[in-house]
Parts: sequence; C-alpha cells; structure tokens
Amino acid sequence: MILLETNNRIVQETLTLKIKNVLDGGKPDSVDITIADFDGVLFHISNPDGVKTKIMLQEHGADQLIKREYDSILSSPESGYNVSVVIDLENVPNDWSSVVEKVSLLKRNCFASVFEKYFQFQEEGNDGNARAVIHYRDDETMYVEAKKDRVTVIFSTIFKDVDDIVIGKVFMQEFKEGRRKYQQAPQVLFSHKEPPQELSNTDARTGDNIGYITFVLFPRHTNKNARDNTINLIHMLRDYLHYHIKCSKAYIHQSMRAKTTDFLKVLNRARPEVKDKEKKTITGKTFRQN
Amino acid sequence: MANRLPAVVIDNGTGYSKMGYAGNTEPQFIIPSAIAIKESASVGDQSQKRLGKGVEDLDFFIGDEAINQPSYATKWPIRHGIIEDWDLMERFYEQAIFKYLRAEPEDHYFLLTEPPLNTPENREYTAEIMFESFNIPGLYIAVQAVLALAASWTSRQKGDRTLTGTVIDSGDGVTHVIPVAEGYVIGSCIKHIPIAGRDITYFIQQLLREREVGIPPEQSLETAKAIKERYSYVCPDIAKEFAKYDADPGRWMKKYEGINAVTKNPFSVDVGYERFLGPEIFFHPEFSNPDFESPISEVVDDVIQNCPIDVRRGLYKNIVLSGGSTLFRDFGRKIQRDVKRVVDGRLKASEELSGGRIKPKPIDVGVVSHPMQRYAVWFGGSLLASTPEFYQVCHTKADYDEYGPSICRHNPVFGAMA
Repeated sequence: MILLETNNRIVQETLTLKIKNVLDGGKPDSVDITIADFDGVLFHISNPDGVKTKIMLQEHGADQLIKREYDSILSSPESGYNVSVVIDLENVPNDWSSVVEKVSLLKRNCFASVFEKYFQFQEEGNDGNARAVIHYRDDETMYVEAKKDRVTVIFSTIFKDVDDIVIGKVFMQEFKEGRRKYQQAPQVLFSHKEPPQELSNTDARTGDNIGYITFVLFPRHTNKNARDNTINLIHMLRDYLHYHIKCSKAYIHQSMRAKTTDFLKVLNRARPEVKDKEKKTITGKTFRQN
Repeated sequence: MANRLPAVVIDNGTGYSKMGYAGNTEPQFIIPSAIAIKESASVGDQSQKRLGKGVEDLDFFIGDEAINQPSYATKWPIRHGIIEDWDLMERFYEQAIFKYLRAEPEDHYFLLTEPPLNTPENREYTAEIMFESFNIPGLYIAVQAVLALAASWTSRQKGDRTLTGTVIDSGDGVTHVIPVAEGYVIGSCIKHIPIAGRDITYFIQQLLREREVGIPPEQSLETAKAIKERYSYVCPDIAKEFAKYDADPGRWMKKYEGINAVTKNPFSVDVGYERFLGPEIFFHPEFSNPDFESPISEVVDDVIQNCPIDVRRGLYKNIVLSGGSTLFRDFGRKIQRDVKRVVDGRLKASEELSGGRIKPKPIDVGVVSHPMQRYAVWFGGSLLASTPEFYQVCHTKADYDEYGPSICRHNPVFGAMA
C-alpha cells in the first residue's frame, strides 16, 4: 500500500452494514460510535439515524461545498461538532452506496472546498486574494495562494522525533529527484527549519523540527478534469509523508533484525579452538603444537 | 488536554485482531491476524530474503484481504497468543493503524494486550515498535485476562464489581484458565489447555471427511468452520443427545449449503452429531488429543485449588468466559454444573471424614456469560482506555526516552502478589 485511501473505511463499513441491515428487512439497531481520522477529525455516528462529525475547518467556503455535496442529508450540527448529516433509514435512497461513499469522504471534501476556491481564482486570473491560512492541526498549518499562472500550496509539518527529520528530508529530496523523471509533475520544494520566501513576512514558525513543503500547481493540475485527483493527493500529503516515515523506520528495523540474526549465527558458530590437540602431518606423523 | 482524541485499542489474538477506538462498545474491525507478503523462492535466510531493494516492504495485505491473495504467501505472525514474527507484526501495525483505523499514531494513546505469561522481552519489543517506529505519545500493555474480567462488569449490578475471578479465555489457538485476585494475575496457577477453536474445527472437519463426499477438499476447512460457528452447541449428556438425534433426525439434523469456489456448483452437507460433538472436546479432550485428557471443568477446579485458600471462594463465584470459542450455547451452564458437582463432592467428602461434626458452608459456583464475550478483552480495553485514569497509568514517550524500553518490561499487574 503506497497511497493512503482518501475515504474513511470505518464510516463506510458501518453505514453500509446498517443500511444493508435495514434493506434486508431487519430492524434498525442502535449505534453509537466515536471514531477518529487523520488531522484531528472526529466522527460520531449515532442515532437517531444520523451521522455526526466534527471537523476543524469552517472558513473559506467549506460550507458551500458541503452544501453542494450533502444538501439532501445535511442537518443542524450537534453541539461540539461542526457538521452533521442525517441518513433516514426509513426511506433509504436507491443510490445509498454513493451517499455512504460521500459521507466517508467528508473530511476530504472539507479540504477540497479550500482548494476548489483557489483553483477557481487562478482560473479566473484573480490574484488579489488573501492567502488562505488553515490550521489543520494544532501546530501545523497549510497556506494556499492563487496567482495568475499557478496555485502555491505550502504545508508546515512538525517532526516529533529527531530521526523523523532525517528520514523526512531524504524522502523529500527523493521527491524532488523523482520530479525530473516526470515532466508533468508539479514543482516541489522542501525547506527545513526556515519557512520559504513566500511566507517570509508572516508568523510562520521556525524551529529545528519544522519542515515546509511547497507545491507549485500549474493550470494543468488545477483544471476541471485533474482537479479532483490533485485534491485527493495533496490533502493526504501530510499523512502520506508521516506514514512513509514510519514505514521506512519499520524497514530499517527489519534490516537491523536481519543483521542481528546474522551476527548471532556467526557468534554461535564461533568456538574457541582447542589448543592442546594432536595434529597429523601429511606423511602420517603426529605432533603436538604448543 | 481537554479535547483529546480517543485512545486506540488493539487486541491481537492468534486468529483475529480486534481493533477500534476507546469508548465504543464494539471493535471497529475484527480481522484475521494474517499478513500476505510476496516471498521470493530463493534459498537463504528468511529475514534476509524479505529485504527487497525497492518498495517491496510496502507490498502486502493484512486481514481479510490477506486470505486468498494469489501469488502472495499468507503468514500468521502470532502463535498461541504470542507474537513470533516481529518483522511482520510491525508491518501489520503499519496498515492496521494507517489504512484501517486511519489514526495518526502521534496523536493517540495506545492500549495493546498481551497474553498471560508473555515474556518481558516481548513486552519490550512491543514498546520499541510503538515508540520508535510510530512515535506514539503513550502506551499501556494490559493483560487480557484482567480486561476480560472488567468486561464482565456490565452484565451485573453496580455494587458487585470485583476484579477477582477465574477467566476462561478460549480463542482460536489456545485456551487459558487464569485466576485473578483483586486485579492481580496469579501467574503460577495459570493453566493452558491445548484445545481451542481451531481444534474443534479440525475435529469437525475430520468427522465430515469420514462421511460427506460432496465437499471440495480445498474448502473443507472453511465448511467445517462455518458449521462450527453456525450450528454447534454444548449438550448436557452425549448419550442422551445421540438417542435424541436417532429418535427424530428430521428435527435435529441440519443442512449446510455451500458453493464450490471453482465450479460455482452448490453442494450440501448434512450436519448431524458434529453439532454437539465439536464443542464436546472441551469436556472429553481425548476425542481429539490423545495426550491430554482432563476436561475443562476439572482444569478450572485444579487451578482454583492451587490458588491461595483465601481467594478460592471468590474465584469459584466469578468464572468469566471470554473469547470466540466460549460462545457455544450452554457452554457456561455445563461448566457451572460440572464444577459445582466436583466442589459439592469435595465438601461432602470432608463432611463425612469429620464424622458429621463439621458442616462446611456451601460454595457458590457462578459462571458469567455476557453479550460482549466474543471480544470481551477488547471491550474491557475500551472501557479502561476511556477512563481518565488510563492516561495516568500509561507509559509515556517521555518516560521511554528517559529510561528505554525497560519501562514496559515489568507489568505491574504481576507484581503486587510477590
């Protein structure tokens, strides 16, 4: 598994199960589940017949997009949560599997709203807009900025472990390398400790454990056809990066274990030589070596 | 932190892994603890061979996807409840956390479980993986038996919450009988029974093989498993049960309908005596395992008799079932009856020996069945991890960085008795 999935599997499976159960003529059973997703998202699936979710984003037109996508099932949010959608089990729509799919993509769509808005600005050649600053985690931020010919997306990410910085750096360098092979790929810049030029006059944090990843998206990434895919990939980037750092560590551990068993084998074979032993010469005489 | 994300609870069993977020009543995923990897055919050391050059280390499946994955080799990294292959387990966790639970491990506390008598080294390895690879903020490794006891609380009155009891934990690979006194496992008195879910499946498979011809050989294990899960129950008396079946076969015999995976033709199997004979091997182990002949009720009694005398009444009173293989109908009732019989017999004998001068107080034998039995351990973990105290007993990343993996070496649950 190289790429992470964009939808939330638990939400999808739980809803599918419940709806199928009702469609098969079963009684709707009670449900009360609280689950988390990446980036501090919290879902709460509960009765009566609803899905309630908590998501950190509100600014930048998240509402419009959510309205567009979830209009038929949207309801007023439960306290402590930002968005609530309700699925009525009494009359399940025929295309319920697509509804379920949509609900499981709730987190993605919240992110998407920002990107879509700025991709739109870029398309219209409108570059007088303020940069969007989204604190998608407590201490990590995403900046989106639209220019006439490009959209710049900058992520800041915190590495909690010193080893992570090294692996993250290598990984991002590899990213830059990889770009040479694929001409269509967006430009990627990685800067460690210091925020990139674009953010020089903002409150962007600096520090040993902070990395900044800059993507420059050109119109070919932001046009209507490629847009969805770009959003899918880019909003998972932070989790993707951290996932791969962890996988690399697991891989290193694996080779360390392999090496250890190797050394142990050598060590177990090693026996002290018995010194005081009779040896034979080629002619058949025996002698003792001291 | 006021707005903390829920802790992740993962219970890795031999057969199935139960995982989910704390605070829920059931695990979000119950998947086979299997991992499918690509393995080259070249000779050489296992672990060396697995180290590929590219991204082979990401090319694997876990859980249901790992079963029936052509051109992959399916591995089970856990044997008898204990993790044996750490390479594979680390990768299993990778996908379990990122693909299934979709949790950023740096944000969540983790509760993992361990079997009784897990080695301290294993506990250290687990801590190493969780803290080093996944950078988790805190870890608690709980003993399955204690969690199972905590899970049984829900089915009783509030005032009666005790952490003293005997846990019969029977999963797919192994069955343990574990005495727990006041939350502390009496390690020296734990007994293992080499009979568990898998043995029942094999036994049923064997019975079917002798009689039924229509089952495709490659599907016989799955068929046996389905029959076990769907139709099996525990009977009070085998001889009577046989008579009952012979008198009215139409009422008791069931039919299992299956579909051949290759030809897609349906086949049907008559399900007869194996309905009660399968689970019966707990009570007559000599049916399937000639080296082992003490029935489960006798083992339970033995275990309790080995324990310190002042906790024995509590242990008899609260026998808790946990694990998938205890789900057979009337399983608890039969154990209760058999243990009670042994205990009453002993009391009677002592009364006779004393010449009727001593009248012993009768001993209560109680077996607790509850709806969470299948994933009792996970449920107990979920209960524990949703309390605020959980965050105080966790080993934290700061502790780990300060002292190293040895902080997890010692599990406080075993300590206080000594």
